[in-house]
Amino acid sequence: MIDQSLPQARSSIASVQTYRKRGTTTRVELHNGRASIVEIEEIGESYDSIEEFRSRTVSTQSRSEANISERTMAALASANQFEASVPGSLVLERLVLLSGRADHSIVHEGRANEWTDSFERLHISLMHLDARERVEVEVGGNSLDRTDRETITTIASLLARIGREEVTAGELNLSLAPVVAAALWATLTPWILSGASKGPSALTLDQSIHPVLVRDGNGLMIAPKHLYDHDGGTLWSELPNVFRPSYRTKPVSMPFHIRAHPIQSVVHSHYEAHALLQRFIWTSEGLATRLLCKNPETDSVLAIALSMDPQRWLNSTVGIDPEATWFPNLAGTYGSKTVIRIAAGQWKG
Amino acid sequence: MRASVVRALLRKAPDSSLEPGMTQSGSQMDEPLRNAAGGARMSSLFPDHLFVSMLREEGWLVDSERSVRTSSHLETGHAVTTHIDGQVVVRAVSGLEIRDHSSWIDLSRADLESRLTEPLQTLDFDIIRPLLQSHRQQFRIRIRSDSRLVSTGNMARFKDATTITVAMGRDGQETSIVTTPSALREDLLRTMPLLSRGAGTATAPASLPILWTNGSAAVLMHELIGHPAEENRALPRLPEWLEVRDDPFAPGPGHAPYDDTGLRGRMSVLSDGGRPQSLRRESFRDPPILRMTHLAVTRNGASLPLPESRIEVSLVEGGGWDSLTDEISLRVSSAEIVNGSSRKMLAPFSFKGPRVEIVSRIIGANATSVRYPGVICSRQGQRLAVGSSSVDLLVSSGVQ
Repeated sequence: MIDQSLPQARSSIASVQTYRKRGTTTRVELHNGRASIVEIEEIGESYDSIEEFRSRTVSTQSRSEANISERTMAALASANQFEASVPGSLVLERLVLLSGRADHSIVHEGRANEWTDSFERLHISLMHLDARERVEVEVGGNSLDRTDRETITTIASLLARIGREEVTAGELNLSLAPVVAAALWATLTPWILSGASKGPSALTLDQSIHPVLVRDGNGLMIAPKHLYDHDGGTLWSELPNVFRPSYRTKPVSMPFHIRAHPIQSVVHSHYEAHALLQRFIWTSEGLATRLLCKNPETDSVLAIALSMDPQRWLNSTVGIDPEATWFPNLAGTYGSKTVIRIAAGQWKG
Repeated sequence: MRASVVRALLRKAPDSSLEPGMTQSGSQMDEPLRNAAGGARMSSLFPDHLFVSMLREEGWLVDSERSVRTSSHLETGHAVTTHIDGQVVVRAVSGLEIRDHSSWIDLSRADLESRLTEPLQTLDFDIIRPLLQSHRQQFRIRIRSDSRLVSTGNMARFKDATTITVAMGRDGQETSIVTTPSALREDLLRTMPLLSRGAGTATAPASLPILWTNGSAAVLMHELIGHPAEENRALPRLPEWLEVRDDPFAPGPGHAPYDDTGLRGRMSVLSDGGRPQSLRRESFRDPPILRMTHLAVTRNGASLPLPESRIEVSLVEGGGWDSLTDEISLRVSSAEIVNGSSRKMLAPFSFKGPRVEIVSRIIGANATSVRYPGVICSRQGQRLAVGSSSVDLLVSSGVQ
């Protein structure tokens, strides 16, 4: 009656492996006007076999002096910039900025491997109390850059102006900002990998590469891998890489740096969707969300709700810009300006 | 312009340092501090302190014949927590190599390790296995046992806690309970019939009142009153006969005579507008924040006669309160529709609505308090066990 395949995460690991991680992390948290800084120096190890996943901390000594570290000062300065970019009419419900560096070593299938990576990421939750609307966004990768700041600034300024607009129900061309498109691919990819998708679609999704985040949870180089096209999709069991967000968690098969191929388009967009007001959720009708949208002709800002069968989300894609931004969804997802065409009855303003 | 709390930290940070025993707040242990506005303890006013923890966590697959350990985690770590300009600063390090060890703790490192290890518990299969004999199904059991030390340099306190989560899935639905080693047998005997019989198929009619039994009303009040109280939100008008308390002295999950900053626990009457008074943290990597410990729901006055037709809820799988919309939602995993002497299992359903509206529909209570096999509660990224006990509570119609 014991069936380990049910509760165990999917894993491609066949042999015993030993993994060690030394991490130095600063976490700056703001929550309803109060702040905390957490500086963590931690070493951990895990041993993974088919039978059991074991992990433990390893003792280390604080390397920093009692004064706050330079990394933390930089993280505070960055958090300050993001905090300052939020209009006073919004409530900054939560901001979490993570900055750190990790040294990894692993013995996997008889081979030893060592590598180092750095990360800088931001989670922010903004609320417009009168409109009863909230946006949660995650940006960053190996560092937070100008594009990430522009993403947050744009979303915050639009959320501050959200209102109502009479909209004409009918076919809708909607332009998704990179952060929205990345969230869409991250939601649809597990569904594709489950084998549920069917063609035809003009969309092609791949596991791609990142200029800095080049290794997976076993230290293997990440290589491009086809995930989905008009002929169908790849399955979980066919993925070559594993994701290991912590030494405390069993690594799981995961596509890295999901990216859609460009689709040239000259379609005029009626609205631009800049953020999720509600995360993508699976319902009896399919995949639903609410988006923070701008009418480029009137400059007005409103919420648009969409609900479609997942295959229709894939098939509705009519344009994808070649320029892409990386977001920390799953094991990384690129998003580009993406145009989708939505039939009447599947959206409402 | 937005007032920046981060800017204040940037201004103060370069001069900050911490030595054992120094408390920037000037607070005294055992003297809970209160703000002028509402009497609630402010999180910036706990003493600067050293927090040390040891944790053992194991995951098991168990059925009537075999038990297989699928995961194990052993963790030691420590953190020094201080303040800069009223904001919290935590410096966390894995292991027990504590800087200025002797200034914080009178024990040697070996004695400290021994003292932390001694209370850690393992799963008692002699209790579990006989109970599984009649249930030909598989249970996922997770035991989390930790021991902690809080020291200000002047005073040190040890405490420990063990929680056991038992989960079982059927028909794609998984239901779980959270209990302690001492209550494991009793809670399994109470809930295994519920866990193993699976969900029904009948749809919950919105027109019927709901009786929250088996202590499950504590989960309802956890979302309706507890979380909003943690965030200092206004209290809706409750029936005068209803009392909701956060009680850190109650046994079971959440039991905390002293909190994770070393301050003495204090019972708070949330139904009178109080806030939970305990500062808790999931691990040495987390800052202490105000959290519930054990939510107790009691009533004064006479019982209400039960309506002939009603829904009876016995297990709740999860729930939440949205601070933006001020609405709650609960996922009911085990419930029956009752009509006189007839009973029929219902399919899992959601119970949700505006907080004020649901509170206004609480119409009675009819029994003495029952301990609910507690809940794992997640807030600000920290997952903590919260104990729960409640009378049966009757809420007029409103299933959605």
